[in-house]
Amino acid sequence: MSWAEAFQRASENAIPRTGMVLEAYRYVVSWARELRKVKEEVIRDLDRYVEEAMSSLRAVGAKPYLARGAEEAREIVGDIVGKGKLVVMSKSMTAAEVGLRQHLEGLGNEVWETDLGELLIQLAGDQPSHIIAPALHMTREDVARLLRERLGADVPDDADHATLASVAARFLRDKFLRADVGITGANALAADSGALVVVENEGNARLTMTLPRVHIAIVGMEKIVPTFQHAVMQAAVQAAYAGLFPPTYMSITAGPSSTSDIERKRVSPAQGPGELHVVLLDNGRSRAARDKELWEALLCVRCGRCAFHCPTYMAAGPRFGAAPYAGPVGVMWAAVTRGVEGAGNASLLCLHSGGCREVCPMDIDIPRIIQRVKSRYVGRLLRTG
Amino acid sequence: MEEWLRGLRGMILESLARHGLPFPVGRDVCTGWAEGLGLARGGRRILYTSCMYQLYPYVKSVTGLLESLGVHRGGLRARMAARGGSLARFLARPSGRDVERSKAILRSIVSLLRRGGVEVGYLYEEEPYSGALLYELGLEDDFARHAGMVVEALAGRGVEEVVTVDPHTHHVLTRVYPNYVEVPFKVRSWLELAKPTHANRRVKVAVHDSCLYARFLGMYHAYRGLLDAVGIERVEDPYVTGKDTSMCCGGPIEAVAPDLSRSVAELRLRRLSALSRTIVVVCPICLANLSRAAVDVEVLDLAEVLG
Repeated sequence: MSWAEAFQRASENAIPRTGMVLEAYRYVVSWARELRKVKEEVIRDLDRYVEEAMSSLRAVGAKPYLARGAEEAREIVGDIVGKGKLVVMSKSMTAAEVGLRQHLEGLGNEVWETDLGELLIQLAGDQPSHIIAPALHMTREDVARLLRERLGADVPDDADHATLASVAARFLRDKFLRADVGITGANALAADSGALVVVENEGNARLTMTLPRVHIAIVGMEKIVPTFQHAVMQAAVQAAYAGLFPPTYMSITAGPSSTSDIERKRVSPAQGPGELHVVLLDNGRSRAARDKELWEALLCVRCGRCAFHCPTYMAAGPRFGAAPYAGPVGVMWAAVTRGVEGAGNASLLCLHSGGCREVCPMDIDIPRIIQRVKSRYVGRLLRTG
Repeated sequence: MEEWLRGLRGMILESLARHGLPFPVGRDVCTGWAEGLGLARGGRRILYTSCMYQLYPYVKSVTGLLESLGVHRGGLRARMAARGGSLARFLARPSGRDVERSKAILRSIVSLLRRGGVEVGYLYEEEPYSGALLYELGLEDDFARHAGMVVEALAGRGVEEVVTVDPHTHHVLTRVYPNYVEVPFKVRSWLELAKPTHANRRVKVAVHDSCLYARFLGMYHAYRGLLDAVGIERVEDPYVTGKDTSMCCGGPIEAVAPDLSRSVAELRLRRLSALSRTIVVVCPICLANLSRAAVDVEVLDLAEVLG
């Protein structure tokens, strides 16, 4: 099956389902509008919000870190994890952005992605093809073959979706139980309270952040919102515009696990992790926040809806973007994290059809941003030649 | 890609300097359609074709050429194509049928305007090209200079209102020019002024939206209204022809990625043809790119079905 057919099947599921969700839960649409306003405020005053978030994280017993670039983020996490550990990761584009899994493996750790799509990508040695559906380009026949070859699973080519999912679940269950460290991303971080919100459906993120004794969250600075309420809103908006609402799980983590059941004295840890490390990642974000043309990209909540309305992505697949980011937001995020040069080639393929802008929950003018990236890239290219 | 972009820019700028057009073709290509129509030379209100429909046959033939040369992949062929010589040679061979069609489309637009009581002048060989291609390729400095020249040329001839015939020209004049230059004349679209009285075809049609009209200029309903006015039945599907689902013909990247441009067109045609074998477009770029990839479907311009 070709990419175009895989895209067609996925969009035939995703587009109507998202439409139905937004029709049934109208309040999420107004949450999205409200969220845009507060996110604009955060971007305008990013440094202050980063400071507030870090101070709130400390107040709940978490350890905050600020990583200016990908290498710094890898080093911070590498120092916390050490070597010879078993590490489980839930799906995080931000972790992929800094190449975290490969770095931890290089240090001598056993590392497993626990989101099914992300695990398939890991087993195939591939790159994600969509921001929330990383294995969009694989058919179930591809998956069956991969699980046979890489995990020795006894599954026929025509195995159904549920059988394939259960093979991966069985394989991962043992990893969760033995894991030393769990690494997640976050959909939102509340500046006022240090609460992290993670939204998912598989249950893998919840296990990743509660079973191991150490939880590390790697969070892009743009995920910061002013309050606890906004953090929940942001995760809900992400899920709804991805067509997955209500989400099966929405986990809120504010600090390491604790109990105050003995004489109301609060002590840590209890059942969950005893350590919570939160790595806030800049990697181009604060530069973008000051950029008159790129700042709007930081409003993105990464629902990936735009990809299903993009003709270039439909025809070209993930090469419209720059790994790990694909699709219209992929070009935008490539520009934020790698600069105009990193997004330039992909920007040339943009058709400026505008479908992405029509469906963006944050009303980001994605075609305009890509046009500006293109114009700067072409300008530099021709001047330097 | 860098090499090809550089070559492409060189070719476009050279053609603009020599012929006032983005491709190396003579100005007579632009004006032939107006023969015998009795359009006044200039005037306060002019039809501004920007030579877009007249160039569509050339766009169609040159895109096929670029695709077969594999220019986007770089290498020797890209270097040769970028020098322009071979391009120009092939450019001179558009299909005669396409050339006749482009003339008929513009003549039809004039008669549809006249039915609405709107008389327009025309600048003939003095009509400048809008520069839309420069903007779309990201050649901002070149575009800004060109926009200034166009405004000066039109305003200098006493033009107070231009009537556009295509979405690319309408978009740059109304949404992009004002970022670089003051536009002292009014810009209207032929879609606002035309008064069709009958249908030239009695078939159910699927509308392929222009990205610019539908999503950037708020005109998603404008051409649908004209089809409705003469009783042409539209087959709509919210997942194929909706404002947020109607995708693109692939045209805007035909010069930088002609193979990908064709894939977009083929995928678009596959979905549209499930609605109707007759597809109506409202843009010369869509006409070029969809008809280039069309098999067993008819791609017609709006001005061909309205009478």
